[in-house]
Amino acid sequence: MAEEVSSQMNSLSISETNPSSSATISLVSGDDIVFKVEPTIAKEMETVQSFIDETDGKITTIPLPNISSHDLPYVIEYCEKSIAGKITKEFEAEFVKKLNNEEVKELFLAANYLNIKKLLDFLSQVIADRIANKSVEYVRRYFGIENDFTPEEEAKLREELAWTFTGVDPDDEDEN
Amino acid sequence: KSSTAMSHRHRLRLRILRKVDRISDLPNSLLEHILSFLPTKDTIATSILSKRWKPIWVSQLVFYLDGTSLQDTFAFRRFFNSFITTRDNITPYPSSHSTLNLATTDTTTTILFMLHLPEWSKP
Repeated sequence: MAEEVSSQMNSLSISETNPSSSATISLVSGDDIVFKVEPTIAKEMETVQSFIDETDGKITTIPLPNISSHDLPYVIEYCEKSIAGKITKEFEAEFVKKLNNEEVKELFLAANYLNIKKLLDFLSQVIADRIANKSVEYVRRYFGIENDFTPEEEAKLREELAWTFTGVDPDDEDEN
Repeated sequence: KSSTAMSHRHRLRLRILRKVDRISDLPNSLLEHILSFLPTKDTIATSILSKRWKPIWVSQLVFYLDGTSLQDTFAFRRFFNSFITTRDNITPYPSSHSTLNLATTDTTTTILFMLHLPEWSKP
């Protein structure tokens, strides 16, 4: 399976004709949009970097089928700031303000897929902040969790855990 | 015209994809990582989300509970007692007059409860 992937990527990298751009890495989103990034950015993405290392740098076009062109620029922006050593509380606060709940989850999945530890930690904190002190129903909707308890099981749990539900925030109407 | 249709279909596909709960499909370690950033009360509350989530919180190594966040201390104590009895490797030991620490005798896990419940602090 690994061979299949790399031969696919070889054919992709051959189509890269401009020699002056050979140093840059092309990240291809799941919806086939190409994002050209500096090799230093790729280094931040462990998954991408290991692809590159395994082929001695011959492969410079990396398909990322799990990440959409909507989410990838956020990941790149975070990595750029990280390299520049400019991940500040202010930057993170501004960054997170731009993201709705779906985007936070998508970026969390992307950070996991790309293996970017710092981004994964940051987004874990963001997700925690967004579900803290919320009702069970809210958190289920937030993740899209299907409740698979029987009504009896749920009633029992609700009784046991009643003390954890005191003082939760009222659910927002629009939670996106 | 066709590209509009494509992007519409793409957006529709994306929306369907996003309805699916892909977070719950992640390995335990990632769910545990999210929980590690939550207050203890919320961490324990996640056990009611679904069968997938029910056991995840137990892995948390440090719990912090204070009396101000626990309005229903009786219910909490009942829960806590049942938790202790299901984890027979936990032995409570008092560390100071205002806190009660519980550590597992199991060498692989150390569970530390820091409880700041006024009633508990009384001798």
